[in-house]
Amino acid sequence: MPAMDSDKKIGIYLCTCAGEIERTIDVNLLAKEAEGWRGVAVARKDVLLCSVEGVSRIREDIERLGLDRVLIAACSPFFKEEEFSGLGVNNYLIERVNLREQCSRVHTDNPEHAAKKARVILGISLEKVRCALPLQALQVPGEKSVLVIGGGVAGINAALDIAGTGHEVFLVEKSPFLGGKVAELHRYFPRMCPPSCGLEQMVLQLRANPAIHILTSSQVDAMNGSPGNFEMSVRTSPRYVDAERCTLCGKCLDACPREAVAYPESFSYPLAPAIKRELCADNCTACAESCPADAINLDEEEKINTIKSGALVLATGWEPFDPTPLTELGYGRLENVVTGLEFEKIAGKQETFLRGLKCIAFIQCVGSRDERHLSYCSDVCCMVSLKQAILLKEMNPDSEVYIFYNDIRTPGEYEDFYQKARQAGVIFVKGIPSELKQGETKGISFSVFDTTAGEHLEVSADLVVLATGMKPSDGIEELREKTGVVLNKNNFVESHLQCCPQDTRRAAIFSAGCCKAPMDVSRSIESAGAAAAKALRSLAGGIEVVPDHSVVNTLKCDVCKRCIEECPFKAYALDEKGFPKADILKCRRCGICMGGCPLAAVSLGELSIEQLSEMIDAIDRSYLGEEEPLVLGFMCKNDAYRAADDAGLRGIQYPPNFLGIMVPCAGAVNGAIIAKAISTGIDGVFIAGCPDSQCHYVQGSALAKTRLNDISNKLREMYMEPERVRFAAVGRDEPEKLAQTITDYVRELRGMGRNPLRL
Amino acid sequence: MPPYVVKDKCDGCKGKEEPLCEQICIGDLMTLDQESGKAYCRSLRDCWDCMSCTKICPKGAIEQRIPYQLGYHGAKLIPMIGTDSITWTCVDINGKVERFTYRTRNKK
Repeated sequence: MPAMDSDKKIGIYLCTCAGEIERTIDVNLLAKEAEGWRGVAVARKDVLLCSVEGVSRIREDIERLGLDRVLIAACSPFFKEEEFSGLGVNNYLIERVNLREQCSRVHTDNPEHAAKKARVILGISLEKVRCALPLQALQVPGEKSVLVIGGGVAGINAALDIAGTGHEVFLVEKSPFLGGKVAELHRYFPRMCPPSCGLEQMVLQLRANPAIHILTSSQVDAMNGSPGNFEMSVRTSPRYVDAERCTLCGKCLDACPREAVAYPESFSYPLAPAIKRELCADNCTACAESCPADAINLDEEEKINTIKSGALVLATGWEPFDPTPLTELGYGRLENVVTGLEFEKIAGKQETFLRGLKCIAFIQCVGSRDERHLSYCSDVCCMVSLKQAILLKEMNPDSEVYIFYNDIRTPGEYEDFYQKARQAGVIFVKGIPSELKQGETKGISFSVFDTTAGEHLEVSADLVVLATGMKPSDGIEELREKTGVVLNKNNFVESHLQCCPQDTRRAAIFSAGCCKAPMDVSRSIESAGAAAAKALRSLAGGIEVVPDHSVVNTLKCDVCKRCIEECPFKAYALDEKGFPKADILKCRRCGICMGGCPLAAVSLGELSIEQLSEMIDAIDRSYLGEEEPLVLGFMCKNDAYRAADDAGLRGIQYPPNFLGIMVPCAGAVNGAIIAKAISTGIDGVFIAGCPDSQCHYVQGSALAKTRLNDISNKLREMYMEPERVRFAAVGRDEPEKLAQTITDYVRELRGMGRNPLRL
Repeated sequence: MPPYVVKDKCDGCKGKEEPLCEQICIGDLMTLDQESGKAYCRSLRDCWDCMSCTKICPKGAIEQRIPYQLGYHGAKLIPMIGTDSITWTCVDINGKVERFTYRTRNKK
């Protein structure tokens, strides 16, 4: 583009910020100097650019002089964005120079050098705006429906919330009935009401809403398309029973010789049995023959539907931890050792059995908080055991109910529930039994060390309930492969836990309920509402695509596929010509691909490698004199750059030898840029990114460190100081640390001496 | 003398198929050891010392051993590639270091 430079009409506007900037820097002089620069049509100062008068003067100039690019040297680009957008040129051709926060206010102690630095950063930004490309936001049509995977309490609620706003919802459930684990429960805590009641209400609402399409016995086979336009292939296994014809007479259940009929509860949906053909005897047609309504068709075949949806909600729920590997607890070996979920079934169906029990022991943290099994707390087991203990005490106040625990965790108002259990006479023992044995006469006997009392306790129990932990349902792995969502070390769906707990690391895919962490029913319902709101937001008003996504220059690309591998959002795939291409809907503009490309062939819409290269060329290497070191600092947009702005607001001083450039992520800085800076005489290059675990783009900081390390090694081989490149972890709230790091680095470089490649 | 791949640095270009050194090598000598995922030169005696692989390696994992006609043990030739520049560091057998920076036409 240099050939066209003479044609470019750039306007430079310098703000004094009502005298604030002028106190350190002679803005008038700077404006006069800038007027003579290549391609600059006008350069003027204003007392307050962001005022109505200031903005209208820029607009007038644009119109009168036909300016095509504008440089605004004032405060940080994170202030006054509204005022300085839509001025009459494309917004991507308006560049901000951070004259206040990152120059005048941080160098008040050295106005002479501050003015020199101001000139340099103005020059850098001039090159940036000169190479900038006008971009237009893209509108992509998107589907208005949502696919919810998992028909448990979270999935049902997400579906209801979404359909309640008039959007179509497809609810896909793997088993033949909706309801998930909640359908297996006997009572909810803390109000002790039957879950069937709540579930029934939900199912009634589901059935009443024609916008909800329910697919039971169904699974997602494959996912195609991109956010906003997913195409899901859903495979529905045959039910063999026509739910519309079925009258629930129960004859099939009686006729079946093998318990192959899954019969619904009164609150189930659909309200018809399902035949488990894998359990049927060969050529047995007893159920079909017994059916008076002719509702059973054993020749039904599986169906595959393609469902289009704009967003996805994952609500695949949980499985109980299998306690068999914990042999000391005797599960599967001893009679009357059951899991918490099994107890729920017993409580529903065998009340007399429970009433007859004299001593019941609950053992907490089975599998949970155990490095060998589930390293996390399963959240609900304490409350579940308390609930079951209270229930037993209500059935038979004379029974002895023990709870053996590590810690009882009943946060918030659940504490009342704990107190209720204490008052009911439940005995709490801090200590976990070592080995359960068959009692000599009857029952299960074991010994436990009560760590509070400091003595051994011998217990003989009629029933032992293991409070087994929650783990993500088995299907999650398969779903990870199909949808590309990222799972954490415990196999729960990974999200940015504090800020976006409902998001996954894939655009337009959200998570609800226990697939993202262990939680109880009320929190599952809450998270379903949150996921529904997020999903709806992603559908609203079509999809507007910010045009600064990554672009691969196919003339340079050698298809090494590093971008595909390093993209933290798996946005890349090979296009029809065999080159990597980012899906603009999945791309989150972190620029990690741009930073990683060995051939510097990737650029972002608003920042390209060529642009950065030109910007580096624009730096006068000796603006502070021949002996002063020059530090080029790449700062990530989310944290370090903001911290630098804060340093400015607070007036924290650092040496003017530092020139800051904003990049979307530390991982966006390409090695070739750093090599270029060093080989053209910059004394030190510094990348400031988020502390490791805080990177907004997952691995940007880690990748930046690796790349810097490679360059550092190369410098060592070149007999140069490896410390000429450096990574600094700077959090959003650490302006002092940033200023200190810069100050120390400049001092260090001064001691190191001039870059031998500086001419 | 053929290129030497520093195993600790090479990451096989992460793409699992054809690393950049394999693509750039005019003699088709570099390739990936499928087991270790690291690049190696499969026919040392056929290398012409063009240093294309050394220059393109994004990890700086390929070192060139200088042919004895040019410099004995100890001599080194190290490229560093910028966006539109290449900087050569030449170390002779006596340890004398010289560096040259050239502009290239890589930019556009």
